[in-house]
Amino acid sequence: MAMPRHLLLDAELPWADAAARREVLRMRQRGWGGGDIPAHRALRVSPVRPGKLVPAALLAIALLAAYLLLLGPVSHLWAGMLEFWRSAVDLPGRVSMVRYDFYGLLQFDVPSLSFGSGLPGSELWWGGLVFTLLLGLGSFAVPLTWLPLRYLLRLVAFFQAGAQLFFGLWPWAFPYDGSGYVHGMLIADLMLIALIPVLLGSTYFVLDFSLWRKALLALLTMLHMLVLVPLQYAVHAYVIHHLSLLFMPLMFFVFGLTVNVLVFISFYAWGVSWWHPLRVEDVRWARRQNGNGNGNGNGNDDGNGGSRGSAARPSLPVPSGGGLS
Amino acid sequence: MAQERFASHLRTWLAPVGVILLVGGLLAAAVALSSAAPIPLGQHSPRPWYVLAMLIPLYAILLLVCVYLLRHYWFTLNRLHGTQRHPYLDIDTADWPEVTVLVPAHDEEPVIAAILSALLEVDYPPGRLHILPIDDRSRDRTGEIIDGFAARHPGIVVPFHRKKGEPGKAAALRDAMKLVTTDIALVFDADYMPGHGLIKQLVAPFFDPEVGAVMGRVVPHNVGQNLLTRLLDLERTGGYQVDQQARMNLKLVPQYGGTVGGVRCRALESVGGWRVDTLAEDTDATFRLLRGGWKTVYQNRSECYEQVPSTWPQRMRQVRRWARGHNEALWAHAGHLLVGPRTCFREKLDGWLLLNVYVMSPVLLLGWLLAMTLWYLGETRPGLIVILLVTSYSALGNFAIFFEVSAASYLDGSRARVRLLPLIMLGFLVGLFAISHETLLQILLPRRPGARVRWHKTEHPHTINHEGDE
Repeated sequence: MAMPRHLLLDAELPWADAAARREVLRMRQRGWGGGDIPAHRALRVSPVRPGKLVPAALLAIALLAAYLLLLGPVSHLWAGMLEFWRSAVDLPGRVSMVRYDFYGLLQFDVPSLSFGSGLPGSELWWGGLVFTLLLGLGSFAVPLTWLPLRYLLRLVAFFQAGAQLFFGLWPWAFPYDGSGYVHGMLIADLMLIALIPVLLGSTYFVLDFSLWRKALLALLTMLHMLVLVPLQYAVHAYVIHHLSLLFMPLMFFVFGLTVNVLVFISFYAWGVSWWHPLRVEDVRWARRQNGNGNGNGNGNDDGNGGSRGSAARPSLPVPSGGGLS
Repeated sequence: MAQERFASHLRTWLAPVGVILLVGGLLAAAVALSSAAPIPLGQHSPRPWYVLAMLIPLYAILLLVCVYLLRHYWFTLNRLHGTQRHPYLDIDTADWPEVTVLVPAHDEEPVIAAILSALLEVDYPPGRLHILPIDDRSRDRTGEIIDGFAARHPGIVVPFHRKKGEPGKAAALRDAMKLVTTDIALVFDADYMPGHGLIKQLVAPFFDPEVGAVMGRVVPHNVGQNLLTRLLDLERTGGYQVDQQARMNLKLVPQYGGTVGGVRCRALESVGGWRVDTLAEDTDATFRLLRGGWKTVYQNRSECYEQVPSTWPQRMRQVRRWARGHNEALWAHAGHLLVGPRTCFREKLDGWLLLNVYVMSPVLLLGWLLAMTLWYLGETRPGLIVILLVTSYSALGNFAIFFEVSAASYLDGSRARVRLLPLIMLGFLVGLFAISHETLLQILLPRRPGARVRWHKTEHPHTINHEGDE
């Protein structure tokens, strides 16, 4: 019978005889009263089980493949959402589709929202300058206890100051227009969403969560982004249309991909906070030792279950770790 | 058996294979996103020289950021799934040597009694533990409290009142070391709370004659105070539970952190003793011991509890002090480390990367500036910018990527706390500017050799309850 991997300290047990090693480890984890001593958090490792890792890898590949196959419907969903918001906020222009060919391997459409975006007039430029100064100088009025807010305001002021400088000196040289910008960002976000299964596959799927939780987190994150992205860039289009290209750099650097990355990390953090068997593994193992079955009751049996013939006196050790929270 | 063998192979190969896959993924993403970049209006001509002059350093910076990202990714996979090294964990019965515990204290009235009480209750053979609290030019009742303990525990608590001399912990330690007669000296900050078995755990590695320093795990005990303390707890968790333990597992360079740890006095003396002209005497000692052929050991099981800064200005000062001290260690050791005969390749590589972590903040800022300038020039490479954003956030959130922090919380079993992970961005932002500011100051206004260091102590305003806080 295999043992929970997080209880093993192989480096300290150099014997070749696996049975002897297992027996020593079993004795080592046996408490004075016959119960089991849970592993301290300092010694825990996450179990590596081929039975969990292989399906998780396949899940990541399947999600990526499914997403790529569904790029067409996704693009049409985005086009519909952009069109809805364009007419809702009375943004002049139209939504069309542009076809892309990715090295002959994949063909997909990306919505293109055409709308008017001009260079800032004198009033807008001066308005932008006042806005920048208010942000920059206002940050000094923020109390020190809110120090991160100070830096956030200064960061926004910094990006806007860059735009003020550029449009003050070389407005004719600005190399983008509003429609091209929104179209480009939609492409970048289509790719970013494709990366979600890959990123989660390499950072979340390697943790000891059940397969359905891994699938759920990936799907929720991808669905959230699918809804967020067209809304996000509809707002960008609205701002750029009404406030000119002067505010495009701010939209791009602060409210563009940065927001999407933070959304991904938020979902990831939420997923890591979900229930996982690692903390209670010790207890489950103890129950198995005492002949009480696998004890987990959630269908996540790792194959290490079973009971020992020499069941000791029933006792339920308290999992360690977490300590001070 | 076969399954166990397969799992064993997986544990060995998961980290390197994962890193290779991640590198491949990043490259693929860069190609995909760059190929999908929107074409700026009218830009098809060859790139002018000044664009190339900016692109080359930008790619170099991106490469550096990716190196750190992969390093942390490797560490995390190793800590999660690799074979863990705890070689001295089982030493419980031994002929324990005499040991001196140094507690530098400058204006530590609220906390000094708690640590002295805790030290008097630790599990260590009577007569072999000497407690040497250092009243370092205190202006409050620290000296008086220490004297009270010395009067109640003669021969065990031997106070050292330092009324004058250079400021700073390193100077205090150097002066106090003259009173140390044992070969092993442990050092605790005054706000730390050692557990019952901690001294034995920290002394055990010194039975190994190659070990020059030992470091334990620091766990904040004022976590619930406010958002900052919660964020710092996440950072500490990632830094110790994953980063330090992985470096121990991989036989790299675990860092002696100056507290919750100790040194072999003979080893430290052989490499020059405590240096007083630095703000990071711990990092300096780590690298001098490394260059001298001594090993530093990290003991993840040896936990000690501390008060983390609870206000942003305190945190800012702390980060700036660390940055300045760490950068001084970089100037002092980077070159010698690479050519030193007593370190192996992996120690040189990891040590060099460790020395450069604080320099990466201004480098990263430069990268952002270059990316922004190129964007204005129409050099749109969203792939580059995406990767720079992702990797810079993840690689430098106080030098523990979000994967590292979340994996550490996962191993710790802290579930709710990890939901604050995106807010580490706030600490990262403050750290980024604080470190960059300090590094630039160091470059523009370097301290004269031999000049006195300015020491900003971290305040500990909250009194620790002797009974309940641990």
